[in-house]
Amino acid sequence: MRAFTYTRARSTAEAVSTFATSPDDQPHYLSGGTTLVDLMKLDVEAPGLVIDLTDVPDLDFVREEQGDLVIGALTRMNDVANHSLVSTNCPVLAESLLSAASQQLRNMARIGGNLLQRTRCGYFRSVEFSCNKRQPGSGCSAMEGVNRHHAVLGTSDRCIAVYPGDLAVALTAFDASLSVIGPDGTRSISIHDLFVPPGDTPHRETTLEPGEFITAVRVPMTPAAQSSSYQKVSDRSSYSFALASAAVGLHLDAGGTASEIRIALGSLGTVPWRAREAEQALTGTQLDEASIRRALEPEFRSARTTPQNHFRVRLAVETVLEAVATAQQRMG
Amino acid sequence: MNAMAWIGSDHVRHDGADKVRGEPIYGADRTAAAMAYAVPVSATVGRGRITTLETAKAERVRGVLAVLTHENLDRLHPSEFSFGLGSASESFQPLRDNTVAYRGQPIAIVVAETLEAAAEAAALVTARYDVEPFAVELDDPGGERVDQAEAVPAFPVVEIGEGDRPLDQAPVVVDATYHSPAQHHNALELLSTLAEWHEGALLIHEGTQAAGRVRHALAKQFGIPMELVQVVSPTLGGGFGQRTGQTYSTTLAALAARRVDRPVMLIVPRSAVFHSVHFRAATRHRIRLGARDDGTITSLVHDAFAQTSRHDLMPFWGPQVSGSMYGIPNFRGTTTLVRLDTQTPGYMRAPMEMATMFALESALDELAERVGVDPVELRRRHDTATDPATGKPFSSRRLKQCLDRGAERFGWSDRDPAIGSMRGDDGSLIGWGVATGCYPGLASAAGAHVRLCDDGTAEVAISGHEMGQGIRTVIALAAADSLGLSPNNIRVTVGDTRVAPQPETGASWGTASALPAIREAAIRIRAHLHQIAATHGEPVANVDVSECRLAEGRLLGPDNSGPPITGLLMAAGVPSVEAPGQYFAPGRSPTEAPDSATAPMSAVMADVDNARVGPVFPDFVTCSYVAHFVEVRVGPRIRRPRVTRMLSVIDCGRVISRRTATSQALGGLVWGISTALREESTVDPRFGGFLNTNLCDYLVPVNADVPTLDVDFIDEPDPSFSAFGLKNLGEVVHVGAAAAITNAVYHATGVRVRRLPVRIEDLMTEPAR
Ligand SMILES: Cc1cc2nc3c(=O)[nH]c(=O)nc-3n(C[C@H](O)[C@H](O)[C@H](O)COP(=O)(O)OP(=O)(O)OC[C@H]3O[C@@H](n4cnc5c(N)ncnc54)[C@H](O)[C@@H]3O)c2cc1C
Ligand code: SF4
Repeated sequence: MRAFTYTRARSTAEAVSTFATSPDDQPHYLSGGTTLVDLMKLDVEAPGLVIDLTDVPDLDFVREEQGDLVIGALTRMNDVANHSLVSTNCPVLAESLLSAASQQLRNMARIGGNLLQRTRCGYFRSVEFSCNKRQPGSGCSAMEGVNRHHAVLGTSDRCIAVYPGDLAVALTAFDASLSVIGPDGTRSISIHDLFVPPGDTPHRETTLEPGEFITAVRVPMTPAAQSSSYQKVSDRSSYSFALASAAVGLHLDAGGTASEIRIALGSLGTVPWRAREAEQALTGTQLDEASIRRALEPEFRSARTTPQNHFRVRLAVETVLEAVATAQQRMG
Repeated sequence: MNAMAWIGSDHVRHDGADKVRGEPIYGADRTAAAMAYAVPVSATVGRGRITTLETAKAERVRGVLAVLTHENLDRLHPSEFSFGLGSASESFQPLRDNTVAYRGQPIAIVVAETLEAAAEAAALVTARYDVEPFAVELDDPGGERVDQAEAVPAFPVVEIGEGDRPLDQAPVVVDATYHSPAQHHNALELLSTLAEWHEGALLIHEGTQAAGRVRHALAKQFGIPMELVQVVSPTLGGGFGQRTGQTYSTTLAALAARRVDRPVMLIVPRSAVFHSVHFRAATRHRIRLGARDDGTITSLVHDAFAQTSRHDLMPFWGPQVSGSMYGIPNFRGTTTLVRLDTQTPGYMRAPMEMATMFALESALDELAERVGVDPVELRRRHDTATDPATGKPFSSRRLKQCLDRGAERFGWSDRDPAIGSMRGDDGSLIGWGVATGCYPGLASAAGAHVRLCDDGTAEVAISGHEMGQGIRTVIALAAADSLGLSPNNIRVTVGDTRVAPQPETGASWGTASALPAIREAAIRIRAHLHQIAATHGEPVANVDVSECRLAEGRLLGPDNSGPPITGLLMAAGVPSVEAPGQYFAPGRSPTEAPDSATAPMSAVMADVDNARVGPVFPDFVTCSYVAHFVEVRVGPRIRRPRVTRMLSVIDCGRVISRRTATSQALGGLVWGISTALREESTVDPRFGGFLNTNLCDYLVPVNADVPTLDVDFIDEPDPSFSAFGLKNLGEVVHVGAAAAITNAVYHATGVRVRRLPVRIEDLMTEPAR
């Protein structure tokens, strides 16, 4: 870890202006620190200025606004997961949070920081290896290396790093949007526009402009939110990143056909992956295992797999089936 | 001499309350006045030579006191690998010159006022290298193959009966190859050393299993008398073989302390722990079993491959284990070592037995299915009272009892042998598996100093290291019985070369070695007290001392009467009586010089304290045994294997401390789950070294991966091996556990996983049947 300056912002305005006026070319916001400090210790991140947001008031809340669930960006993962509005109205959110990391980490980490966690690619996290994401143009060590956990969707010739987070997958399934604030004021971004696949610029992961930070997350509570489910498969039962995950929301009409179905895949893509084609194929149909399997096939047409990670395509399908089954049970 | 009141009891852990209160001092907990911190810089190439080393930036970091490199380091005497009669975990000593033997080795040490400054500066040291070809995988053609029998004559080819010749005639042959990955110790406590020099004398605090060996090695390397080196290790947060040798981090800490003339703390970062000390070698085993149609095994051939380092030959004696496990008349076992570019592998719980018995017990399961014999029954039928390798009887072997009791308690008779036939309510596939394990009966040397005080307490300073296994507890129980006190009134000092010799505590021999030394000291104390009694005309002095005992705070004769000990001490005008005791494993006396390099294990015995591992009994062979019964469930859709039930029955002779024995056993089973389903050190052959060098990527089980575990002990004495009736325990529990799990996975899914650990993807393909 390199020496750095640490400061605490008391308001959103102070945070933004501290960032804007910093002589350091890459100041970083800090919330729980469980990604940032970790990467600083590994020398992967070396900000000269760290602006701690956790004293900024009024960003720690969970509430309902016009049928949407709104969550302050500085709310702790556990506080969101355990909030009754979330656990009863949108189980997929609670489950995605509770399946992540450990109790201790969830008590530290905040929602905004969670969305911006960085990939777990071992070559990215160790400065001794070449990595296009960490050092543009240096090459990708993972493509010919150990890549069992790497992405199969949304990859490029430059980078195959997976987006590892869980919460963002649930948010992607439900078309969440983010309120952000920055030097140019506030704006709202759809979750679908936040994350950028690597393409030729794997170091660029989001569409946030320098100095912008997330203040809140807004999740529309559609009928499918009630009977939603997050399924996560990883090597061990907790405290590990997914090999595959699925966020599913479901609403069946009286006749049993799916009037609303939402499917997002986690830990498969370089970004959280919405299975829109599958959703379209399944909406208005009676769901059964075979039809779901068929509907998911096109999602993987563009998949690029390696001998180590190709099993995750099949695993993803099974995970979706599991999530749909749970959501169906929740429909009652 | 005394009745065993405490031995065998379920008395609380001697240091349990202290641990709960956070009292024990582990390696890095210790501090010293004006202590500086050292942080290593690691090599980033697989092998080669350093051409330039840039330290100027690091030296400019505020608080940096020194940057040690091969260009400015004091010269030391070479370190000697513990298997070549030395005391070090490997012969390679980094920073002696510009050699990079493997990725991850230190190439510089930064010493600074604070840990943060040292870490910051360490990241600023850069190096250029001439890279040389390297190999880190068992099958890499760059790995040099060595015929172990030729290179290490102590471990010849094992031939029993007609060797491999009968295999050709066997009507049933199972021929399969099994793989176990490299594994690294990941105790929560990192390797750490506090080194202090005082007027030419060196004091080391660190968590080690072999304080005496560290002392010996440092004295030799620094060329100073052994009396000037002391090593203190009151508690360590996990041993399991990792800390049985002197590691170079200790030497570097001592060098750094001498350079900056201040105490220095060196904590090896987690990623560097993967590259600096013993780890479990990757192995491969071709097992061929020849059998008759009824399942009677007529021959077993075991060809083992094991990883070693480029600079040392760490032997692998798996075939010495498999050849003696069952009553199989014909056996041939060979080992090929493969030199790779890593640190020298070494000991990790059940170092030879784990991988060997995974292979053998998997093969037995394959045979059982082929011949249609129940796997428990197949093992029962091949029980033997004599060791096939030596022809000597086993001093005790209750493997059949382990199997029978286990099968009964587990409900094995309800097992439907058909693959995939048992289902849970949720549709999950249920598999039941069995496997056995063994571990040889070993003992080392021990020295004790016992003092019985007039306040009714006693102090025991003794050989041994407390790594959580509970040696303080067994020592307290044994001392309590010998001295007639409560264990709560006994103070135990272990792991301290200042008060007792400290040979290695490993290979499950701690209890077997310590207890006789305590008893010998106690017998001397009894004699002292008897003499005092005689001087003061106490009637008990008329009884022969051998008929007296210490109990209830008195020196009692056979009629249960006698004077209080405090009275005797007062009469003699002394506050305490004290006496030494010692133990050498039978056949291993202190006069025997550690020269017989050809004798198996001889090098492990070579130690400052002349501790020779044994025992060597002329008439019998001793082993501990275990039988594991496991239930595994695999999801109907997502075929993730979970262990849902595990029962193990253990024959370790007499159980000395039920509390800590049970805890050891549970730990061995958790590790079994880890070995079967989690742990693996991955390598990237393009870069060398190990890749997943952190606790996020190196998987060990979480609580949710571990079901309620059930352990049971046969608890019948083996008086031939030890006067206390005990056999060894710690290691044996881990042996075979992984095979029981993979056998259960097979029973559930029909997928035979021959490469540890089992991963979801292994089960996501439809079974071949
Ligand atoms: C061992 C381990 C296991 C884990 N397992 C999982 C898992 O299974 N699933 C999972 O989803 N996650 C997992 N995580 C990741 C964890 O969830 C994230 O580290 C955490 O959520 C990040 O939140 P934070 O508040 O600590 O972020 P920080 O570390 O403070 O910040 C992370 C990044 O976001 C930026 N940032 C912080 N707040 C904001 C904001 N409001 N607006 C804009 N930018 C901001 C920071 O500058 C930084 O770049 C694991 C982490 C660890 C260490
Ligand atoms: S996959 Fe991406 S993050 Fe990983 S090494 Fe390649 S470029 Fe870097």
